[in-house]
Amino acid sequence: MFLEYLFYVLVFPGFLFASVLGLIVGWVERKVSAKVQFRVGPPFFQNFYDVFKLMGKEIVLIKNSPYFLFIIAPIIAFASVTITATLVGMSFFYQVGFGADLLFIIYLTVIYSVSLIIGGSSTGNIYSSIGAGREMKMVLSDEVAFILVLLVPIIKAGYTINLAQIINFQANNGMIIGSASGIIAFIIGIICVQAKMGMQPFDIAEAETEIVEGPLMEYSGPLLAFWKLSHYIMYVFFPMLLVILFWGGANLNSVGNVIASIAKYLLVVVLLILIKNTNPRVRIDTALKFFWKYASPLAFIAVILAILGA
Amino acid sequence: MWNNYLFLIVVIPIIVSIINLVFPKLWKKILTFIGVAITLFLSIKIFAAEALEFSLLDVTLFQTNSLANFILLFINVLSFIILIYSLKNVKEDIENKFFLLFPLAVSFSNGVALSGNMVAFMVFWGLTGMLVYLFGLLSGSKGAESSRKAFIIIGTSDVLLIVGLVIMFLSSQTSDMYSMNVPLSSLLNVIAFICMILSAFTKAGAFPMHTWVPDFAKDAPVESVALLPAAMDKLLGIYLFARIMIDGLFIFPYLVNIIIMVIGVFTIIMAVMMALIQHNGRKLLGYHAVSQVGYMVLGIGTGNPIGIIGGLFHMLNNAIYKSNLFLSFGSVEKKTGTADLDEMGGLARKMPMTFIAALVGALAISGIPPLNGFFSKWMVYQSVLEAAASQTHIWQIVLNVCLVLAVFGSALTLASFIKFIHSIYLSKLPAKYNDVTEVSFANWFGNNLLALMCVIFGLAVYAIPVKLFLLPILPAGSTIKNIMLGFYEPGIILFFFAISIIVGVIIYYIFKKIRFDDEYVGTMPTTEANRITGVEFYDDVKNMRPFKSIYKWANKKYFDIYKYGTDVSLWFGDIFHKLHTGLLHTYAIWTLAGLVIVTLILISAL
Repeated sequence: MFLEYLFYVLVFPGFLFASVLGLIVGWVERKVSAKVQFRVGPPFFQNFYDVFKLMGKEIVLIKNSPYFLFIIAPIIAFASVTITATLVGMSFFYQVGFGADLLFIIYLTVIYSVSLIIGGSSTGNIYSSIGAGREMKMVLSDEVAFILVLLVPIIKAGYTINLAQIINFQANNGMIIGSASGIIAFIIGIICVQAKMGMQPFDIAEAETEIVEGPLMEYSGPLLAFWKLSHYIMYVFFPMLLVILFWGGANLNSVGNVIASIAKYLLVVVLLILIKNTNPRVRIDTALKFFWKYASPLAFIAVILAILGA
Repeated sequence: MWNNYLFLIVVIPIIVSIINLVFPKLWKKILTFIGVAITLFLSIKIFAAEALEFSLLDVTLFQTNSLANFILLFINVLSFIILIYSLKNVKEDIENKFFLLFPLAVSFSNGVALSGNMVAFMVFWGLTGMLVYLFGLLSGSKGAESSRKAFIIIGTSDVLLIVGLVIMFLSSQTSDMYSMNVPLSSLLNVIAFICMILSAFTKAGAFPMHTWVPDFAKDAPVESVALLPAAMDKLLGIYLFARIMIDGLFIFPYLVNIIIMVIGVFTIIMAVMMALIQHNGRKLLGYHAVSQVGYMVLGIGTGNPIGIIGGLFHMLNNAIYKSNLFLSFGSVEKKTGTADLDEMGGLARKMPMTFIAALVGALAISGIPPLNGFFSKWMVYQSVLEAAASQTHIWQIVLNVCLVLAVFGSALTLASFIKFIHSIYLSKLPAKYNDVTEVSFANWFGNNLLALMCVIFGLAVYAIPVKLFLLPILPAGSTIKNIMLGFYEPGIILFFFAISIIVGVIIYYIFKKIRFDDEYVGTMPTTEANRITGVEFYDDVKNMRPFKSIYKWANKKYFDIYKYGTDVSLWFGDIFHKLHTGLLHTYAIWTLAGLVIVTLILISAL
């Protein structure tokens, strides 16, 4: 039992699997971006080299700052994304509700943002503080829309927040993405995930060209590697979560199904990457307005449709 | 009589307070400490016993059930911890009076929790309301206006309570609150119901009777704010509310539940939006003290078992972390001499223990797992989903909107606490606070006891709070598994947390190479002049339509029931004022008119 759970969290689908897959998907991201911009792009192992190189660099701590927070924040964030990847991965690969339900998983993902804000702004750097404020506003902006998006599968599957039951429902009644409410919710869900992962056009908190990666500004060495790795692990579980909620999760019982499952996952990833590459960064007030005044009402319509059975 | 716990737990603090009148300051502290320790001991005894009774002159005055036991226990636990904090650094000039009032607050709150008889309930309820006023007055002229406001609003609610209870007495012919079932069949009973609900809402601080809380929180001594509006009044107000909703004081259709849930959600959103833009730390906390009540109202309003324990759990959690936050802010305020968030910054290094307590409190109130605040909110969300599942389409939509707004309210809470933590403890330390030191042991120890409770109630959520305090309130045989919609396995999740954090720490220790330096912006060390306080984080929200106009109206107090109340009473006052012209013949005419009316009434009665 103990070893089994240790395997889940450390090897598959947790730490090791999520990190490796995350770095590979990170390479896909860089490669696709390069293709879109008519560049060659990095070699396959580039992200691995990056992380290992960061591990060897020194950490610069700020004098007279609460650097305990500065150090612990990326570790906590990393732990939270690892657990999320484990829980989502268990549902994705084994079709079980494991450890906790959907609401819990969603709240787990908030830990990443909170750690980023607290760790970043503990340094007292101006850019970090600006970035922290923006990160928080991003959490605010996509929250309503994202919860509405989640409500669609919850309602469709008969008010359950157990991922296994949502997958089961789809196995018996067809994919949620096939319904009118499902497709609307799925599209808005993709945009929300874009915002949750801080990808363009919503990379407002980190905005390299403007506020020098905001909260990450003072981070270096292994601590920065934790942040980068956490970010890549998000590439693993957010698309998986969308596939579980709207597209029936993965099915590994035949070769065709395995390929179909991988294709579903990759399609969501590539959609995310394409949106990233075709949209410039928006201002924070534009993002707030977009999510509160357009995306959320649309998602609300999807919820109403779901309640009415469409 | 003299060996009845229920009697002693109310009387001992009163005796302490009377002795305190004549004793010197140090003895006051010692006596109060001993007195509250005894009541804490008694409350544990009462909690362990099943149901107790205390009668005087053949009338059952005090009575307990599992809900009352639970409330009583935490009244005493929290007052004990707040007392530990208050042993040091209460303002010199108010210390004497503070230790007179403190035992009284404990005694009266215990009285409310224990009263099974409606007259006793009314008396103790009124007395706790009066204590709010007396504590507010300790701040002198600064607190006069806000304590008057609190007193008037609470006083009004006491009148409502009396009206409600009288009607209930007339319709049920009993004054025993444990054996009433009033159906909402007549208009009179509906009025009674509304009166009782409003009275509970005033004490707890829910819309529309909440407006005294933020103002009181701003001006009154911080220890008393942590004790009364943050802890006791929440426990007592929600206690009455829970008695009304679940103990069968009234019998009502489900529509009433839905209306109450909508009020709950409105309370959450409205108060948290106000909190988001505050510059005064105490007012920010005060608005949160209102906003959190919304979750309790929402949860208990659903009427299903998970909602009831979720709402009550949230009440308990809120009492813990809200008094924790008020106390930590009080410590900061004592050291910096200001409650203005713009003035502060970077205090985490200077006051590490206070910071830890505040951070735990802030994360708990924002619902970050695995702290206690998360679990109560999570239960409330589930209860709303469960309530929606069995409704018709239109109510499903309403309840889903409630759920979304409640979740969003939680995000807004997180946002305003990020601002709170950032502007006080993170960012850059202003030079004027270079000499600030940590507060004394009693202060941070008491504070961190509360933080510790937040952590324990979160980590051991099923083993301690749910099993010991919450499930006994539900009908026998309920287990957490069969009332919940979702699931959570603490063993697995906490194991995963531990393992992944250990892995992270190991990786960090293997690779760490550390150098210390200043922080730079464009090759120059940053200066205090252009530091970011964090108070302006949400100006984008503030300046966005339609919030801009709503905030403007709120600043003009358009949403404050107190303003309308005073307007109406001043208008009446004005009329009577105009009648007093000082001319003798006007008075003579009024006298004559009165005489005629009295005569007419007498004649018609014949």
